Amino acid sequence: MKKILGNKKAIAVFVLPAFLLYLVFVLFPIVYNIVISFYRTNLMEPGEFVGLKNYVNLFQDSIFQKALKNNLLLVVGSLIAHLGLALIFATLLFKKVKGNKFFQTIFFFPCVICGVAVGLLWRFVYHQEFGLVNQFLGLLGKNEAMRAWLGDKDTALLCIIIVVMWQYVGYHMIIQLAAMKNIPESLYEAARIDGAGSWMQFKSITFPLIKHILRIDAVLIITGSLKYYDLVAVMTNGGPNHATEVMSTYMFYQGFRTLKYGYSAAIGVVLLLLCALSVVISNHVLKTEAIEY
Amino acid sequence: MKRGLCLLVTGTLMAAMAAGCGGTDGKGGAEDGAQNNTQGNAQENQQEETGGGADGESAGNGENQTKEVIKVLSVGTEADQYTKTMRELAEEFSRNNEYGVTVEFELYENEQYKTKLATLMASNNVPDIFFTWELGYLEPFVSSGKVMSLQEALDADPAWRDSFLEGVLDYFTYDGETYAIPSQIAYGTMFYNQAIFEEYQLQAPETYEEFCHVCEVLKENGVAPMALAGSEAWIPAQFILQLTLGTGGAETYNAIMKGEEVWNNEAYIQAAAEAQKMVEKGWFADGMLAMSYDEAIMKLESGEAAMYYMASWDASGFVADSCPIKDTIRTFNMPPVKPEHKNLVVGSADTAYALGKDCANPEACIAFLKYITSKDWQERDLAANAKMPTVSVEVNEQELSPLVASITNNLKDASVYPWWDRAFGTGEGEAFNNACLAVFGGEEVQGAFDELQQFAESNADR
Repeated sequence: MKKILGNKKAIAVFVLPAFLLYLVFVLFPIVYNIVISFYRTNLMEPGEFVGLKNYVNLFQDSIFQKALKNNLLLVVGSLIAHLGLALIFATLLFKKVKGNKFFQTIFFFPCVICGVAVGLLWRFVYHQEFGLVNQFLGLLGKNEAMRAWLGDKDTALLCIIIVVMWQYVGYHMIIQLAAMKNIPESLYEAARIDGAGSWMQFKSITFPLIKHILRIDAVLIITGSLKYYDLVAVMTNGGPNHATEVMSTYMFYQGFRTLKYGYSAAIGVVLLLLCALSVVISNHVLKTEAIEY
Repeated sequence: MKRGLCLLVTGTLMAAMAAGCGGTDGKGGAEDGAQNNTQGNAQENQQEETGGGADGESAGNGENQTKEVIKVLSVGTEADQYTKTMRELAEEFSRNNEYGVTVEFELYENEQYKTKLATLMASNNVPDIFFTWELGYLEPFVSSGKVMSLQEALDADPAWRDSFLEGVLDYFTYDGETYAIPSQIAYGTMFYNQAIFEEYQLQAPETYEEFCHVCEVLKENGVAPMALAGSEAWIPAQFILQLTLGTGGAETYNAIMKGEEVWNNEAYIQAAAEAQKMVEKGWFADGMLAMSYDEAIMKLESGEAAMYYMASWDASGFVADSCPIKDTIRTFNMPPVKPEHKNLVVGSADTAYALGKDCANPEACIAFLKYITSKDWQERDLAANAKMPTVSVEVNEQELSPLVASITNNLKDASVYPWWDRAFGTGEGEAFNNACLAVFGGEEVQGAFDELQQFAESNADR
């Protein structure tokens, strides 16, 4: 076996099928997408080359600006929940508290449910007439606060962000918890002997040693929030009046509804660039050195 | 030995992959699929025919030749009354057509359908027969040469061509050629529960003032005057469009259509402001903004709301036995804000079908279109499902249910003006819908329509 894997030709043979799939389903579409973003086309007639016009239009398009802003708000919300809250939960569960297995499962549970089901579930929670939120407000006697949460342009986006925060907090908590469990117990023992308290231990041992995982996590969170689609599509489909539009729903709308595929492709390219940029930035901000225990 | 095994496994996998890819190269794959389908269906048909004891001729055909299947891609869900009728129609046609074809409906929910059709068109996989909306929706497909012109077929059969009511084919005619055949006329109308009206001594209003009075009385008595589903933007938009016909008349409508009038014109602002006033006065059932289509119907059927503005196609559900207010539901045309613009309603020729450019069996497909628009079928569809025919039919009004009679009568003097999202397609049309929804949501009217105008100006350039 070793002999075969040492042979470069054999490696090529093994890699080729996967590479072909990658080429056909990932690389080619990306390049094709970039190409058609310079055209004005409905993909049925030969397109007209318009250069950078789609991009120029895009940045003057108030709906796109709204979508971009919504995505950024989603990134902020996700970072708060998935780096901040998740880290707090992970730290709490890392200590040997009673029932931590139970809580791990509970927190992880929402992210095993498919996005569409979560969307439908929360649509009921936010429902104006028989939704949990309004029922609860009714019980408290705060009738004036009751509203159509997803139908109101002032609350719809916030409602979606809360669901996203809820859905993935357990997922990121598990990643961070796994990173914490990798830290040798001896470090904590030494710290305790030196008289370090919980906060000191977290600040000086846990955080620096899981920073490399947090970096990867941050990349996952930011790119995930930028290309977010399913919950928005199910809960509001970008409405009311584009109040919850995100870049991916707007891309879908411009492509499959208004048949402006060139314009839609330009949104896709911007999305791709933003995701790439976010990777560079998070790598830079959370710079770490290789750790060896 | 091991090396040989590895290479063998790799070789097999690659061969399998190549075979897998080879089968799906565009058309070849699709045709294979269709053929399999044909055979599968033919077997089913044979079984049905022997079991059901069908007439000798078709059973004879089925024995030695497979029946060709024509797929109709259409909008609909299993829950729709309309779907059931279309299935019946397809079965009937399949049983006794001279081409020996079987017609099958492939149904998709509204939004899914738009995605599906756009994808099929862009990937050059145009279906044989497909459902379409008029004007701006069909236009890009026609101009890209994806749709078969039906002009020749219409001209070859003048009796068929002339059976259509005046103007209904115009919505599907581009450069003098007709590309789709509509199967019903739909127009916006106010459904109301007569039992509730009688309880408060109210009558179907004839002027706008009377309409406001009706709403006020109902509101005072704790009945929601109207139910409206705000979860889909086109629904509030169709209501505002109806009001704009009452404020601006046909003139404003036509001017916008020709691009000679702006969206933020006075008549439109006035109409939208009227709608917003209604919202503020609580004339729509609670939860209007997030209410779904079905919930709005439920409000009317349960008696919580007294009126419901929707296109006449919803009547097919109201004449069904499952509707609790089947006997007391009627309609009136929305009275105009300015009395001089009477009898203008939102509406169009609807539920149209077009043929794909490379339709395999155009004769059979056209025969099916003729079947849908045959006088006999249209009469039956009117009586059973309250679908307004697109061809001239003779109906005995005594035989129609009161609801169907009121819908038919109200259309007699009215002229119809298509929905903007159909006339302009999804670009400006949907922007209009969204602006209207924003107005229902409490946004300042002038601002919302200024934004719409701005969108319209920049959209032309994308």
